[in-house]
Amino acid sequence: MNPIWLVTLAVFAPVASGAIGLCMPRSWVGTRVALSVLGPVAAVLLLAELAITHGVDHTGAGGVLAAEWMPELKLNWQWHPDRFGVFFALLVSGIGVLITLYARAYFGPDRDSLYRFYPSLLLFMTAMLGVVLADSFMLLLLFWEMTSISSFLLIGWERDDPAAVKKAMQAFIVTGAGGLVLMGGLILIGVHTDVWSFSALAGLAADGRLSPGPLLTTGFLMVFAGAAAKSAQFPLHFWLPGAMAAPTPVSAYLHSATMVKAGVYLVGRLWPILAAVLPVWPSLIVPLGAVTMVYGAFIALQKTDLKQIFAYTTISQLGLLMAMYGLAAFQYGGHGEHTQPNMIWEVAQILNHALYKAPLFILAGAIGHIASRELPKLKGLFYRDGTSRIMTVVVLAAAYCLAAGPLTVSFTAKEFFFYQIWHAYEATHQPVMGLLILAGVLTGMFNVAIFIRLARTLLSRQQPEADPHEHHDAHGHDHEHEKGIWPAFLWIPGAVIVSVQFIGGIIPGAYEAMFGWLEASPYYFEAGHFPLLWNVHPGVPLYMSLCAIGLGVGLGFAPLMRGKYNDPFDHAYPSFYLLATKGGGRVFRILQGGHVTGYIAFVAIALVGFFAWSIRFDFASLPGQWPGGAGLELDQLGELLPGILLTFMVCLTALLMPFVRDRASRVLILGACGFSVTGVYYQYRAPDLALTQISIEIVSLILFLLVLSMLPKQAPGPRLWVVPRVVLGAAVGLIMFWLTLTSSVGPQPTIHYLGRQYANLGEFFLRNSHHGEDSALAATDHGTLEHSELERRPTTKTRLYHGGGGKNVVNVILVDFRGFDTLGEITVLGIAAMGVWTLVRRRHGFKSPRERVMDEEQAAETGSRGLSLDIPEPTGGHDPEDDVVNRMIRPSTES
Amino acid sequence: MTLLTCIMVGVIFAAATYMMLGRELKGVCMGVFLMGHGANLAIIATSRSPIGREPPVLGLARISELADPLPQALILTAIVIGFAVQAFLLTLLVITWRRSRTLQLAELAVEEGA
Repeated sequence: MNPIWLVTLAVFAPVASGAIGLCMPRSWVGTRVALSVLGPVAAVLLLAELAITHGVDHTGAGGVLAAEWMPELKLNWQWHPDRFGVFFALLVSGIGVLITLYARAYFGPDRDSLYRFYPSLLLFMTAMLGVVLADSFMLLLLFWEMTSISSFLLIGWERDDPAAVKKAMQAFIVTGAGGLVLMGGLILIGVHTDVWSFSALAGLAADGRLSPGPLLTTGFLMVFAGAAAKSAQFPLHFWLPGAMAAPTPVSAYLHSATMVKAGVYLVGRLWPILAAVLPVWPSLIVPLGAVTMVYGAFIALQKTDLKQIFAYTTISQLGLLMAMYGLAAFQYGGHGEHTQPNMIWEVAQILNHALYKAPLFILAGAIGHIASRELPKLKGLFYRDGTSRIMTVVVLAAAYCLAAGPLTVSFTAKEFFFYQIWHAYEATHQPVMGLLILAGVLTGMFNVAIFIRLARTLLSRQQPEADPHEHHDAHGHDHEHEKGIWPAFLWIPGAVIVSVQFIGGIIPGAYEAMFGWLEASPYYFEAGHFPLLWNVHPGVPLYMSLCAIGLGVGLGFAPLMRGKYNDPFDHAYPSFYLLATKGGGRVFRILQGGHVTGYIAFVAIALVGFFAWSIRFDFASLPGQWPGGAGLELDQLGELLPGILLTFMVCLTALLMPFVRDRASRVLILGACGFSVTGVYYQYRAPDLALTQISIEIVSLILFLLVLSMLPKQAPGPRLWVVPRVVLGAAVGLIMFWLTLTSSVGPQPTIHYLGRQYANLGEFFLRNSHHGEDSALAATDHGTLEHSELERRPTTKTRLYHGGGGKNVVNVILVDFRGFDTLGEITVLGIAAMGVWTLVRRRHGFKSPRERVMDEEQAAETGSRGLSLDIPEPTGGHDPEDDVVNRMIRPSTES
Repeated sequence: MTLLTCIMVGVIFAAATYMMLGRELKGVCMGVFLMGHGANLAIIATSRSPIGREPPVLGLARISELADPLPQALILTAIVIGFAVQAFLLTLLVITWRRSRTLQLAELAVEEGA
């Protein structure tokens, strides 16, 4: 099959099976499980088909473009199924199959849980497959956000548990914010390089055309911040232990094996491209990864809850993976027999972690089912019954891999990592690398100690004191009654996965077959140099391993570091949340105090402030913008005289208004101002405006006087804040004066339209308003327009679409050129009329008599006016005039 | 004429801002209406000096001698919408008085906060 279809189908197979499951009745439990398993199985098969028939060497080929989606946004269905992407996709879908089966055992035959769980899980699976197979930056972001959302849904699985919901929000905010930063970073990289896909970026790097620059560095830093948030790097790691509020299948799948590795994936995707270009790569990633690695392992040792322990070891391992990519930036050219410039065993490290962490979580859930997840209550679990014996064996096998014991893949992987550290030290000879060696040994030591303590607890001969009220891992159903094969699926998926660890660790050919074809540095496999137990050479990495194991065994038995230190970052999100809500509330109360004066002053001050800020650079040029004398035609004083008079009138009335205290006089002065403005319109040769203004001025004057008669006559109080008001008013007036002046003098921009040039927009309308043919009008001299010319029919078809066919250009603009503006204007009028109507209608205008009686009784009881917009009749200051007014503006009064 | 209009705009805006910062709702409303006049005058000022021109009606003069019709069209819309806003604002004024028995902004703010 075409690789495009293979990839697309593989990505969407899981969510499709989930969607079909949603359409099935809830009682079809068996069918639902079969269908849900089918989705990831189909993905595995399609990807395997892709890898076998098409190979995984698509690098640099520009990816596989399935279809354009939104090319303007650089968002396309573009896949990049190369070695790394296919490996991740196989990991996601392969473990997905087992997790789907495990979830059936975990939830039991609870139809409602399964009905809700499978679609969410399968949505996540599609999102994750999309992340690791997407080539286009924006497509990756889309799927990235989908993983955050599905993770949110799954962590907050217990909808009625406020704690779980809070943890879900915490995880979503951290990873969601990380996603936004990631988007910014990818856009910066895209802007810098002008390519918008990983394969094209790799192509640039391969040709040596990727030039470093501040934009690229900033972009990478932002991308890394997003990846670090997703992959729970210190100090953003705190959401991951919180995410353990999710059901265990989710923890095993999202929060250990797959989603948290999305950040690692991204860094792994970028290292062959950027590591050589950006010097910041190792110096940023290595220390951060190392700190995360040691810190996570240290906190894990303090915890007693199984899921918390494994969550913190996951953080530790994610730190190790990041550090590995950081170290891969060091060059080892010409170093002895090693011809590879970079040493990295990413597939081994990533797969190794998934192969033991998923079983650990699976078994944590299983043990929680039959007993408890708290270590002190698990003493002597091995000796309780057959099931607990099997589970103990499997969980200890997985924990042995956590401790990187010999004969496991994990041991080999850890040797590789130590080898990488040691060679980085040899290559750079920086003393800082010595610290890294210490960090590696410490992490190994903590992991070994965790295994020792787990083994000592589970294999202890003591039994904990029985607590009859104690119930295991609460999830709302009981497993005692379920019979058959399903309860065994609580541990079978874990056993299957962990067995791979031992097969790969014991049989040399198996390891090579598993990792060789996918690994980035295949040289070491060709040479047979991978350190299985029986072909490790004595050397520093081996000594580091021995050191870690020895110290770890000692620490495991020692009474040190037992639950004394809590993660201080547990308080990070609650503090942030408190700060955001409380601080936000405070800011809101300051800005929205309910004081109209405050709002207006805020706007006025902002205007003054922005004006001052915008001219701060060229204050000297302010007077220069106004060519002296422009706008004042002193030579035409006769023409100007009415204008001077009107200006005097307008200014006088405007300035009088604040001084006059009598309200009726004030309204009349406002009206006088309006009539003077009418005169100004007349001076501006705008008869339409003058007519409109004068009629509206009359109506609004009457309206205002009517309203005044409905309001109380109150003695005006003393003037307050006069000086600040005058200053602010004068500043606003000056600014408006200046803005008007600068926009009204000087040249106007010319307009080019349909091959013609117009001196300004007004001329365009003048010339086109009749029928788009201006030659006749322009040709006539001195305004004597030939009637026949005006009425001339358009002679060509194109003229039909020009012009409005009217001589009054203002009217033509309103009803033709800008007809929709007029429609909007009428709409505003209608809305205002409806608003007035609603507000002034009688209190009981739309109620039946019975309802009125009930309302009155209620009002009499409570004695309150209530919060509705209904208007109670005024009780005081009520004179007969008001009734006249009421009848005039409130027609429903008469009904 | 342009300079005169600019002076009118400045004075109107100064007086209107002063009134809008007052402590009583009626005065604030009047300030808003006054400011409406100022805004319209600011728009008409952009049509350059009207002296020596004719109204923008085709046939009255050569096109180069007609006034700019575009600001006039804008203001015509603005006047009508301004009237709608004015009617609505006055209604709100009455409603506020009937519900709260005060038009003092300080007291209204207290009521809103309560």
